[in-house]
Amino acid sequence: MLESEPLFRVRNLTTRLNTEAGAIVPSDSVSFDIAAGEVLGLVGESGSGKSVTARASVRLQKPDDAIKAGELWFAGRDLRRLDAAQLRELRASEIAMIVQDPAAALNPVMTVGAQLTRVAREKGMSEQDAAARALELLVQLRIADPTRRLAAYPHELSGGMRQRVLIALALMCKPKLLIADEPTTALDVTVEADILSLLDALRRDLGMAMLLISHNLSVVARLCDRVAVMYAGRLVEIGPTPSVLADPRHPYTAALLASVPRGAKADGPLPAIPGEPPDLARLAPGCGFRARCAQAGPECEKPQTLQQVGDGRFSACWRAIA
Amino acid sequence: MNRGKTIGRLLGIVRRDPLAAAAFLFLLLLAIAALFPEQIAAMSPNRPSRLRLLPPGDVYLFGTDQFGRDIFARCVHATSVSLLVGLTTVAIALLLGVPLGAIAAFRSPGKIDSGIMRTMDVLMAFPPIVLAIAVVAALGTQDIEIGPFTVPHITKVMVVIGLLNVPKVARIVRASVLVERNEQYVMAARAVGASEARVLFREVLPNCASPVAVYATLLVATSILTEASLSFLGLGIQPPQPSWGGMLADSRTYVMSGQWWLTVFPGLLIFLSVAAFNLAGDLLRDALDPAQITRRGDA
Amino acid sequence: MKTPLLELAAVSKHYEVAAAPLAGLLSERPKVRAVEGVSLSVAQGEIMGLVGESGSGKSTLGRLALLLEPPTAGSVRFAGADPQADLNAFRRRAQMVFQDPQSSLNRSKTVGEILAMPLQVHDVGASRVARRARVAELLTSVGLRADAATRYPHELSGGQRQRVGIARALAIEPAFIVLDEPTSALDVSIQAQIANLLVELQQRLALTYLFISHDLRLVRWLCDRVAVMYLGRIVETGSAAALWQAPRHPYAQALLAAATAERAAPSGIGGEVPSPIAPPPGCAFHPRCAFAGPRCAREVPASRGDAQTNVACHLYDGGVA
Repeated sequence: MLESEPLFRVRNLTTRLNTEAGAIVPSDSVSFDIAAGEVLGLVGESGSGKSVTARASVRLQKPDDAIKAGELWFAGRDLRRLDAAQLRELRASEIAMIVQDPAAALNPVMTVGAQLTRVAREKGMSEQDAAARALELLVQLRIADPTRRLAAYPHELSGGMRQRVLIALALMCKPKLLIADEPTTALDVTVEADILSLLDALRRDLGMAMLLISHNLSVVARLCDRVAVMYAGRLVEIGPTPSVLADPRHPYTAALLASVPRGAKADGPLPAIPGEPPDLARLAPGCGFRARCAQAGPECEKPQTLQQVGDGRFSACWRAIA
Repeated sequence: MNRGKTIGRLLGIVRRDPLAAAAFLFLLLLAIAALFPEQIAAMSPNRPSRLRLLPPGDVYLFGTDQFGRDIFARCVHATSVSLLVGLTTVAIALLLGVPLGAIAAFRSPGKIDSGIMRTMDVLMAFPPIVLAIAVVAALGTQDIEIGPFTVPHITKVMVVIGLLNVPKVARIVRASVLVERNEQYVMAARAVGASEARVLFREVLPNCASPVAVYATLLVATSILTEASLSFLGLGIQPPQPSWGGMLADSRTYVMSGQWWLTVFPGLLIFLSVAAFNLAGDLLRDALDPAQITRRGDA
Repeated sequence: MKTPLLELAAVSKHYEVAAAPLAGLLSERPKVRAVEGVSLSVAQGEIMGLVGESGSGKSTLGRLALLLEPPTAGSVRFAGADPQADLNAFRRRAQMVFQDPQSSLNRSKTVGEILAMPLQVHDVGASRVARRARVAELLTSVGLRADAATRYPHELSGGQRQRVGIARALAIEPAFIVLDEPTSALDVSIQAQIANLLVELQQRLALTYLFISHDLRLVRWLCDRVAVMYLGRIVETGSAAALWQAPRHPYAQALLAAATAERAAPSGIGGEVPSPIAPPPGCAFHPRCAFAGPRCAREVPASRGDAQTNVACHLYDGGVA
């Protein structure tokens, strides 16, 4: 997709989870690249496998989950060949992660300052340097009254403030890649706007690449250079955000975009997607969306793979390819 | 809750888990022994004979004690007392503890809640055995005559142990109701116009049944143990009526002189029945929650 | 003008902060002012939107409208009468749909039992057979199969559960329904299905809705009029179209800008939502407002306009100086 070697290269990533309902494959042969400084959005509904995919791509998995990957390259290193200690080292320094629920991700009995400096101290930074870096980050994240906030405990902060602290925690070691899993879902719309503009400024100032996981197309539209759409464990479409949103090439993307209300009252019913997302434990081969797709045909029962359909655009629908 | 489904799940668990099956089988045997002691034990539990301190054999399955009484017959006849005490005390605890805990939770926070729960705290603060000893010591070990009624001593024991268990049940119920109270279906039932009593007893309490049933089963085990302790101390079931704890107390002196069967069989019965009730409690927890199995499957 | 079905007049709801062990020693316990002097009228057959962020008091207001909680001050009128006079009759006519379809359905009851409960409470349907027929009819009307009655909630998907929640609200044929964020716990592809169902039911059964949401696009598509809440007060009320095109209150403007942003841009209202225990004096929004002047910190802005369209901001009432 890109001429030069990307920062992060994932090829044919497949995960298999054993649940009581049977084995499910939340990510099936997923491939994507992220260039240095690029923001890739990973969009999907709950159960589409987007979070599992993101975690598995940096080999953060539960012990009994099986991950198979054709290729997993990060900054010239083969993640498949790193042992647990090396992976931990990498995730502590070059790959950072922020999650949806900041209240659960922060240690309730440590002050914000202690949590921030501990991360840096583990990297061998001196106490003074760590404290200075923590303060610098809070200022950069536009946290009012930063010195007082460093002495505060997580429960004394609002949701938006906690999410900023979590971002600061992720940025302490100047990572090359930030994985943000639904970073604004728990927040109000005005706070969401602030956090998104903050992330946008950070990636421009620091040249940091991002993998942004979201179910919200409007969030992705505001921040991402490219967007990858997942459905039932598979990537169905990937491409530059503006062109995907303006001219989707997969029926699922198109249907998802159409179902967002845009008009005023009495504009007629919303073009809703009928049915429900499929049960991953009972997924048949072929296109996972075909049961809900208005244009489905016999051709859809064959396995669909991502194919180039335009400039940097890929779709897993045979109609788009033909 | 769908009773048929619960029983089906219970059978499924028993089939998968042989230890659970053994526990249920043992409880079944106990129940049979309690209901039909005469049919199971041919000998009289109380008639002394000259055949003293016989080791276990063909005629005397568990041997005989220092008065020549059949230990097997005594064990079997004691079963009904132990089970009766275990089940009745838990019934008393549930009868008072469930409404008290539920009402406290529904009126929480407030004066009614703190009133009920502080009283429970005070009751909980007494060491149960010591309190039981004090009550039994105050009321004596004789049957009491109240007007035309005769209250047998065993009833006193059951009431005391039962009352001591009320706070434990009340706490469990209150904690589960407090959690359930915040679920939106409670608000939904109120919005529909359901009365407070209906909301509490028909909507909320069925969802607390599972922890309470589990706890009650465990409590049967504790009550059997308390009764055995009281009888061991001579404050529970009075001789010559057989009880496991009393048999243990009578045989103390023979432990050292080699007549092991006097202590081992009643001791084993206490141990096994407590273990079986505890196991059954764990099983019940898995069987009672219809959503648990599916919920675990959500990835 | 249509006659109002629901009228809230200067309704307030204050909660006492949970009593600390020594709270009784304090002269006055602190209070959370969840709703403060709200007046709102919803006409027969209207869909009224109520938007605001977390802590704005919109869900509390929804519960007050149904008298699920008693208001601390003010009055609620329904169809021109005091609903307290016959609460049982009021419950038959005013219902609620909840946000979380997981929590709002009793997990130990089947769908059939859940839907039959309102019928039993109000003695609708003479026999068991009649009730069963009504349950089947309700299920079909919300797009579920009649045999769903034997299922438990955990056997249904989120969207199906929410349909059951809607069917329960419809069971006793109410005239008015409070919908508290009915789509926000659902997947994107399911939200539109539920929104369409709500509109279809409203038209077919001539219902009146109070639709609580934080999704401005959905509110614009669904509602006739919208009220915007901030920190317990309504700051602006107007037609959905007018609020979408030209919001007047600075907070409503910021909310709309954030909801419709196409590029990553700051919301323009810095800082945090203040605590409802100690709201700022004057206009509660003034510490975050770009247009605030000295008067905003001094004086609580009165609501200017009529019951249909109004705004509570000094900018439209003689200036902020």
